[in-house]
Amino acid sequence: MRLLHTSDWHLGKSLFAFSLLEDQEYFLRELLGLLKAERVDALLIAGDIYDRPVPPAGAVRLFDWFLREAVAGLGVRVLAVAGNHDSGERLEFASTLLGGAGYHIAGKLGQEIPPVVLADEHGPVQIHLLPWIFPADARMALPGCQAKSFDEGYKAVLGHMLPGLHLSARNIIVAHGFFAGAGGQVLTSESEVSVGGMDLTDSRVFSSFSYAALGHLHAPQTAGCAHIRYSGSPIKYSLSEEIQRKSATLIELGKPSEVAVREIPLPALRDLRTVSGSFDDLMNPAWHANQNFGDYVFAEITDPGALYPMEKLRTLFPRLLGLRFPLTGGEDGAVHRIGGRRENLSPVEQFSRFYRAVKGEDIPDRHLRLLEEVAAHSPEDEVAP
Amino acid sequence: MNPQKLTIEAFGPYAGREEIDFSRLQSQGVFLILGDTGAGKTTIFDAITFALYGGASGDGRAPRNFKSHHAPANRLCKVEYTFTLGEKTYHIERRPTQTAPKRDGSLREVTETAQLTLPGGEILSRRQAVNDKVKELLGLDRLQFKQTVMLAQGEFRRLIEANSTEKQEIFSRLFEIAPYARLTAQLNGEESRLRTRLEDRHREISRRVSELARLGYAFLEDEDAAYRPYSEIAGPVESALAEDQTALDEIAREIAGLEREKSSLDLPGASALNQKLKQLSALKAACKELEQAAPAMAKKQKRLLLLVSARELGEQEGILRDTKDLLREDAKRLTALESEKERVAAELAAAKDYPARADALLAESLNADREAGDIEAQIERSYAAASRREKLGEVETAIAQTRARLDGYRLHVKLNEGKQRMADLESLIAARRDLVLSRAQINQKQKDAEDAALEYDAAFSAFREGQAALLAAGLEVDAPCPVCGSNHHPSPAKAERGLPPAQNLESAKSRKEAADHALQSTKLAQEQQIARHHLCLGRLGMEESDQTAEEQFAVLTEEHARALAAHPNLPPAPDDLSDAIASLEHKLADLSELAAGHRAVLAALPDLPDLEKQKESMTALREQAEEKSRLAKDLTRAYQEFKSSLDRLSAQTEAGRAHLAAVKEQFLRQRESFKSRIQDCGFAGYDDYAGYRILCGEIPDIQTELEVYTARKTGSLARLEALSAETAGREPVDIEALKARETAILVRLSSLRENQSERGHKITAASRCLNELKELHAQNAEIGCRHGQLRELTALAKGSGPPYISFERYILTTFFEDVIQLANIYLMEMTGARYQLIRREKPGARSAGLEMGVFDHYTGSRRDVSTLSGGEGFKASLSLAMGLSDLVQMQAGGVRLDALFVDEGFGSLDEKSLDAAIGTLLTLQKRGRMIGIISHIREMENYIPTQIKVIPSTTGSKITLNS
Repeated sequence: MRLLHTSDWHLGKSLFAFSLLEDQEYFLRELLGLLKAERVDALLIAGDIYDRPVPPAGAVRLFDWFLREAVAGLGVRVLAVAGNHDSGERLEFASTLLGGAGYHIAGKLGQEIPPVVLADEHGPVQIHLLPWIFPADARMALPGCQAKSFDEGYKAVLGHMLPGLHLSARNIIVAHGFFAGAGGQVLTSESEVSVGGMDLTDSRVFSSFSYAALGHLHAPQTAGCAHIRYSGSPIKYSLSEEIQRKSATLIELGKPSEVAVREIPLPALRDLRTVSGSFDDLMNPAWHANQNFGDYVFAEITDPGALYPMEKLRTLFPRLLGLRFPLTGGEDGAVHRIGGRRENLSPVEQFSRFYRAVKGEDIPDRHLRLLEEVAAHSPEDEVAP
Repeated sequence: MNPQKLTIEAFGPYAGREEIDFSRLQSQGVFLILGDTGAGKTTIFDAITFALYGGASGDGRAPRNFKSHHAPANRLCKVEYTFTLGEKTYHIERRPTQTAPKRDGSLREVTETAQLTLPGGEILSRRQAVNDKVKELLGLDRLQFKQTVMLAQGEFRRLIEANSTEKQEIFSRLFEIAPYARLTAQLNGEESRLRTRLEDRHREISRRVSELARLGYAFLEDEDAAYRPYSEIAGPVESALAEDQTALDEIAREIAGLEREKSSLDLPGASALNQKLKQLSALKAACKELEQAAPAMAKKQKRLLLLVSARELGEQEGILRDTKDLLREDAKRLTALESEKERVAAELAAAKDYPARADALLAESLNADREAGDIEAQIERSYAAASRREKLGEVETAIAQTRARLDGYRLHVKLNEGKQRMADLESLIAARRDLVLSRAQINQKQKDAEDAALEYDAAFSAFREGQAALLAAGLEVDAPCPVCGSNHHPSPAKAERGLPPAQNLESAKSRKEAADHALQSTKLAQEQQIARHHLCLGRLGMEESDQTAEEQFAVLTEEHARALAAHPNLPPAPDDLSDAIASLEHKLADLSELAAGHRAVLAALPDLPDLEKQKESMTALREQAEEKSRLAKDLTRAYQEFKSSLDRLSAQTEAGRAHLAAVKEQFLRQRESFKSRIQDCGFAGYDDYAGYRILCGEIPDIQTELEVYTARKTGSLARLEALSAETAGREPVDIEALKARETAILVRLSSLRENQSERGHKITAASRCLNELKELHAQNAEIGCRHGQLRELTALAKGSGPPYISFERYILTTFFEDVIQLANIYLMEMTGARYQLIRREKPGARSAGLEMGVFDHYTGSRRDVSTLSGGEGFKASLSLAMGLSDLVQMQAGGVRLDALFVDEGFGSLDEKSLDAAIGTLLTLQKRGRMIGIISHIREMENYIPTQIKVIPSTTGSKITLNS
């Protein structure tokens, strides 16, 4: 059996006020080609299908088109879970009916998580769809559950699930969240900011599964061991992802112990990159090594800026995301770096700076911990970045 | 966003339809919108904003007020706007909510409509969809758009002079600060949640403390006892509790002692003993009475035995009587059977000759039947002969028809042969005639050919002579002759008949050749005719010399006609005559064979005369045979019946006799046994027995009496024995004394228990309260610590303490600094590098952080912005607007701010400042953006040649374009 693992599509996302819908359509066309060429049996989407709980009409139309082509056109099953950007209830609309057609979506955590069962010559493959949860979701779904942290929440939910698992079958889980192995390094990016590790969950909760298809982190990586994996986002969604190579993950299941994992690179319609140089250099087309002027480009100007810099650079880069340049200013002649791309600090980190600026001393650790805790207490109707 | 074209209709001061083509102003960079105050200059910008974002509530110009007062009621207010973003063109049409007359003249409200045409031709027409799309396209919401694209009337100086709070409002509109604001809100929410919990906790603590006071710990009764630390309360309460516990233990001990004593009294045991002793003496008396009644009871027992025997013998006597009756019945039945048997035997003797008669009748019946069968067979043979004759007739007819057809076909064969010969004869005659004709032709052609040859020879010699004469005419004396070489020319040829033309020779030659050719082809044709003639002869078998062909033809023609006349009904000839003949011959042979078969069969069948009479005699014979057979059967059956009846009756009589004998024997045996039993049972004789039998009714009463006696005797003896054993050696006890002691113990116990429960309850309640207090205090310490930190952080985030800068304001400050830096690029340019804006800190002032000052490079001094002159102020605020636009775009490159409208920045300027300001604008526009300057000052016309003029009138304003 061949499964393709992707996540974090963020359909309908805008970057620096540019709509990325064309780039996302390009990705989906590539994906359809991939599904066909690799003879994929089922596509797994590990959350964040849309960028917002109420996505723009164009994004919904695009996803609808994709599902029709993939499920009805190619006969590929599509299995998805809601991520922290999605509205689980909205995604789950008509899910029981759609399941019969080959599109399975889990939006909200229920008391039971019945697996989607596929089969090949080696027997059944059970795919468990676990949507993004807050600790409160686990408390609501499981009577008697006292989980306060994400880690406790996932442990409770998985603990409830494991006794029902047919261990003779191959079990796959699809989930969305911030998981890491003990002491493991995590590659994060600006577009999936976490709150100081408050939402970190020990990835060993997935050790009973043949493969855990995870979403939330935008860089492809493993979490603790080879069969617990993030596929990463298909498109670069922030400047901090500019050096990442985007890919989808192909999983080939043979006999119960045989799981082969392969990264398949995904091309992009337009690259996302930073150009850096003096204003005159930047304005000179011949100076640029990369001549794809249609890319999404952020300009890092090294000398003091000119009048109307945006208007001028835009003549060369129609998709100029923003720019930044140093200015010698004020009576003291100090150099400021001003412009777009502010260091992308989380509100808590910004607050630490604020504290230092106001109090003239670093924020005490106990205050910092408290801040992180309070910030993690995200109300239900708001979505973490 | 780059404006292309704006069309407004019945909008604000414009009564009719006005159109502004911005694309014509584009090349100039700066254009002027000029008109008197109130004429509708700003309306142009309002119309653009309305087209993009629609009407918004809370705005000074509510959408329903857009409709022009000058326009007729039925003209709908409407805006159309075309703009470009990069290369792409968008078109919006929007109509505000307004009232319009219905057909009957009354007014109705028409709600806002919007329609956006995208570059691909797709049209959005739902208001919300249009608004969302515009926001997505421009990257700005309505307020952000107004802030960055329009430097509005009055807001001009406000941008530099506004205080921090006002600036905060502007900046937070433009820059994304929501996540930071959310953190503050989260802190605040958590802080107040914890505060509420602390208060709840304290209420709980008060409740526990007052409960302890109520329980008797009087030192907790004062007002602020609830605020004392836990340790202060716990110590005294715990020692008081220990005292209570000791008292409680003492009580428990006393209760246990009393309980033990009470159970040792055993009041019920004593009273039971007394009772038993009393019962024992009563029993002894009863036993004595029973013993005295024993002899009477033995007599009754004996009488009972005799009565029971009599009852049994009575039953035996009944059976004996029944047997006697049965014996009498059987004898009577046997006599009846024997008389019946005699009657049947007599009847059988009478029917002795029946079997012989039946045999004779059967033989006669068989004979008659056989005769009838013979006659029937003869009739059937006669029918078969008739049908066979019919078939033979059919076959003979078919033979005759076939033979006629065959004769006709044979005649056809003969006629065909004659016809063929006649045709051959005809051909021969024709060939002979042709041969004669062609011989004559050959002679003629031969002659023609000879003539033509002669003519050609003549023509040739004439030609040769002519040529010789021609040569001879050219001969000269002493010149050699080209023919013979002689220099002497004795007789040169002469053309006697003149020189013949060359074509004479040619035509003579072709005529000769044509005549030869005609001769040859005629000869060839004749050879073919001769061959044909020989072929005909061969086919007819004739010699060439035989000249009888015509005669033969005439004879044959006559024969043919005769034959046809002789057979007028000749059938038409089929195509394959010989096949048809063969098939008919074959059919004829088959038919003849069939006929021969039929005839052979017929010869073997005799004819039968008088068929009907034969049939009648056959029927009569059959009926006779049947009648006789029936009679024979009846006789046989009657005889058999008599015989079997007699057999059955003989058997029955025999059985009856045997049965009678057996019954009689049984009766005798029973009578003997009855007699001997009477003696056995102890009766003196039959009469004695009969006397007892009459008294059988007494049996039940005597039995009951005896049973009751026996039971009473057994029971009494057993109880006597048991009670004697139980009470062996015991004496009666004094019950009253025991009862008095027990009452005393119970009174004491009740009082002790009450005391115990009271104290126990107090101790439990107090311990519970104390434990809860401990838990509550522990929790409060934890929450209180957390709450203290949160209160501190919240106060900091809200900026409610020194230095009075909120977190949100702090974030905005960083944007503000960027804006100032960017604005300075423009300001330095405009003021010849003299002025620079700086952010000013006002330490200790509330809501500070967004204050601004100006640094004068000429004097090296700082000043407040309010000290800037009119022209300088204009430049500063324009720079700030430019800087804002730049930063917005640098933050989000998708936002394109290609145009800026500056509304009435010049009213307060003196002439010199105005010059400077306009100069600045003109410099700026060369670099980038399109700038629209809105002004009522007529002098501006002289500076900016590209103008949109708004001309007011009493019937509404008009727009003219001047570029």
